[in-house]
Amino acid sequence: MVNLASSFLQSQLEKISPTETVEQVIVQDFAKPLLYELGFGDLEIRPEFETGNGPVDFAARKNNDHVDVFYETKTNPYLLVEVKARATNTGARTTPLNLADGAAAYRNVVKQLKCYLLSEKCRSARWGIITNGNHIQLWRKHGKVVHPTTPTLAIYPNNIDDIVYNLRSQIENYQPALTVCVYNNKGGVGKTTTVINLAAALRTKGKRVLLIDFDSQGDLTRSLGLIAGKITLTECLKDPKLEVHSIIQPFKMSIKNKVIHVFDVIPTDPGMEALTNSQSAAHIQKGARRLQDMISPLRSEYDYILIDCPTQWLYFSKSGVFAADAVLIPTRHTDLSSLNNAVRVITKFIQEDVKPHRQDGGPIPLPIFFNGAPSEGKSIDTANSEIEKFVEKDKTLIPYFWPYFKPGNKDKSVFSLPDYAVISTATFSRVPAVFKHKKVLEYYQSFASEYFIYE
Amino acid sequence: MSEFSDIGKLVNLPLESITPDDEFVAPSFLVSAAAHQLRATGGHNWVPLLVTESGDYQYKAVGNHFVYAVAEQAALERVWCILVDSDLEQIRQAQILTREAVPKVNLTEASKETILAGLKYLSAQPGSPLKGLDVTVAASRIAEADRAWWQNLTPVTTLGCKITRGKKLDALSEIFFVTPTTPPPKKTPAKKTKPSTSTKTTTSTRSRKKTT
Repeated sequence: MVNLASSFLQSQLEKISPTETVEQVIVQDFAKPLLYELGFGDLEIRPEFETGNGPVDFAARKNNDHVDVFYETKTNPYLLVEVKARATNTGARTTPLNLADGAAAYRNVVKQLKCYLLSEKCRSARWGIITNGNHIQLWRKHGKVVHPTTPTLAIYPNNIDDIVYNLRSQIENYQPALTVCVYNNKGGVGKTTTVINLAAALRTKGKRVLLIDFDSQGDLTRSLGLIAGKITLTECLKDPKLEVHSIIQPFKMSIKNKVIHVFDVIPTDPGMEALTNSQSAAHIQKGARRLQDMISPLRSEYDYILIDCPTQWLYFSKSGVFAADAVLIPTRHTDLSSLNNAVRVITKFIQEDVKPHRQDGGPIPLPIFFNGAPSEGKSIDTANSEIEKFVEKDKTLIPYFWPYFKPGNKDKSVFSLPDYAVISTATFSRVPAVFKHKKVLEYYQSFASEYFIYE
Repeated sequence: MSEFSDIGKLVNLPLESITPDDEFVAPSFLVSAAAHQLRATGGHNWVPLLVTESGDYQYKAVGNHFVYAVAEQAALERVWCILVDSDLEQIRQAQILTREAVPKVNLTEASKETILAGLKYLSAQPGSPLKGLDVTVAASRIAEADRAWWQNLTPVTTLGCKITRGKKLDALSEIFFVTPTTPPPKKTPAKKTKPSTSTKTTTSTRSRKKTT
């Protein structure tokens, strides 16, 4: 069956001119057959689907029954496909349209796809594909986060079947978890406080959350009053045969005489300290890639897996970023070094160090936020003028610093979490601050909905 | 060397995750005595086994196979290894450095000195079929021959240096290979058939002369 299907797409691809400039040809001769191969029937595919943020070339969803026909109802799309031509006509010349990662055309299509996926009418959408018949990339939407799950793949008649097989198995097996590493190469930006309170806020919105204290200093483990169990994180890293569930501990709280399971935690242990030494780290097979493998069985059991890492770009942080779908970078508006280091995390660590070694196009940086800052004022202006300096040098950084900045609307707002003394002092009381102060909870809930969840 | 790849790193691996070489053989005395020494000194093998990654958490021994045999005999649970690039040429390089493979040189372009050194090496091997070969004469004959078009080592047998087809020629292939850089001479074969047959005869006469 696979062979029959493959020859169909192969012949479709061979039919299209390598310099095809008409998008409709790619739409009809490649993208639609592709949707068939991904398992969607004619009544499950809607061309020119109006997202509310403009029409996307295709939207698709499985029909549940005879009444719920997507082609007719046009509601709750599951997959969007944005198609481009293989080349463009500029005057008399034909220039290839390069959708390879990093090209300007690629960035534009990705921006377009994100805009559609995040539109009101596409809340239900989980997947997005961009393609021009030369390249293809699959994106996943988790809450408000859109991230790639494949690199931009070059398409040839001889690899299209394997690609489609991979895309289809991903689309049909949506894993509920989003893995987020909270990291900045500069210390003192409130990483641990962010992880704990964000997790608690997500819990109040009904999300299943797992925290991983991937820091030998153990601030997170200690501040929640936990200690490692019989089998430790270090042992689990060293022995791939150990059961990862055996190192998970529940964090419970009693509220009004009722014990509530807030979230789960993988606590750190004293053995982690030794992993900073290369002799000991040599016992971990696959090194900084091991954490990703270790937590992969948990991706079907949680909605969010949050990883807390130490500051330096060494084993622990590399592991955390390598395991992540998205990297959340806290900064302090008064600490310009934390802003400069955010640039390093985005351009150097994520883009140059980690991404080339991942098979799935990830991880992505999320826009930075100011931890402990007023929403406006002179100090914010100073921070913004610092941001202006490196954004001037590299325009591709804009979405990571000023996510609302658009052509014609130079909105430089950066999300900020106000500095309440309680946020940090509460860490001593073994109770996340959000459970002690209603106002703090509201702030972290708005933080969660800014970045992750729909209200 | 990237932090996200273990290639080139010294890693400590469970012995059971490593597939050993099927063909390696070592005298049992050496293996057991070495295993004894390894255990007596704490079980940290200072000379690493060379492995490549063959799958997720799976490895294949590609060099220093003796270390595997000894670690197995010593019943070590984990062994220190160096993870080698799985490119075949890189593996071969590693095997050459551990002297588990013999390096080969291109005879179509090797210098006289290299040929001489190679022949000396071969004839000095225990039980070598080239024992007693006049390596100086053979090296000169080969060096002087027009070798650029050779498609195999057979032309060596026509040079009158007592390297004949069969075991002797096979011995040569242990360290020499050819990659022709020019096409075989088109006219010369016709021309050369005569001289070559004559060389053959001269060779035979020469050898006869010598024997007589």
